[in-house]
Amino acid sequence: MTARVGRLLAESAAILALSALWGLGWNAVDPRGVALGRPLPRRAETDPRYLPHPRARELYFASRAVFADVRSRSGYERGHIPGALHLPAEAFAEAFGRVGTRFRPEDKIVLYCDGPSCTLADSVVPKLLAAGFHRVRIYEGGIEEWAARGEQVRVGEAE
Amino acid sequence: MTRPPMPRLVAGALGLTLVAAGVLKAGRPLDLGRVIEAYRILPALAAPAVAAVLPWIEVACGALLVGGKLRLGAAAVAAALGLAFLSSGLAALARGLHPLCGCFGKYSVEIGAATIAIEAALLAAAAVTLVGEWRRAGAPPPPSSH
Repeated sequence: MTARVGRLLAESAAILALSALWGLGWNAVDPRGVALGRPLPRRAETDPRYLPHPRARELYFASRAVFADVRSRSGYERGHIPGALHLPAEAFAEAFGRVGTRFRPEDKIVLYCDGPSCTLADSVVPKLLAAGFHRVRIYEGGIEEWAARGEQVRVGEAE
Repeated sequence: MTRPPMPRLVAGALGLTLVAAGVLKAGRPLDLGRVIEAYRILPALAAPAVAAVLPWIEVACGALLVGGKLRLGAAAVAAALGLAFLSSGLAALARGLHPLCGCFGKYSVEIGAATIAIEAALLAAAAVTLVGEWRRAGAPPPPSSH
């Protein structure tokens, strides 16, 4: 019994240690490797489909884009960007049937969800593209960054 | 001709699945790191290192299970991975998060009932393999032909 436990631990440790060494080594020489010990870079730094806060703010206050919150109803009601439509990713078809008439094909549509690690907005983009809306962007910082930067947040039901 | 015992068949299928999952994720640490961040379990500083290492653990475990080497350890690590994947998926769902599962690289879908079922099946296969290898490790060696 003790020998089996020892063997299990020794083999597991060897597998984990060698895999980790290989993975870290590969990451160090691979051009697509990531920097260790610091957060991953924001997508808005490298991908124009993602907006940083200043650009999202500029579009919002110039009324040059339609903002849409893709979180669930509870998330939206806890706090959303004033004027943002509610277009939940989990019920896109039903919601788009309700608010889709407020989008025009020439509009720039800015989607957002919780924050940089939220992927709900990414899942809505192809659906809007398929519906004929090609100027879709994602505000990467989402409602968390919007609130943290001191911007106005509205609590309550869909407008 | 004798058929291989069930745990061996399960170990082979599990191994192939892990190799496929690891290969599809390897070399894409940025994408995988963002998936890991989306679960909001690990600190942001840990995501890059986990993303760099995790696919290779899967590949190593899978290859060892298929190749029949260090199977006890590989089964234990596979079981730990299965438990971690299932519990993190359930934890995300419980908090109303819907990240990509990250299971098979760019072929991943948002977590939901289907991905939870896959993760549960992975954990079950790893448990069957681990129990089989544990018993085999405790069995007396086969008699020598000499």
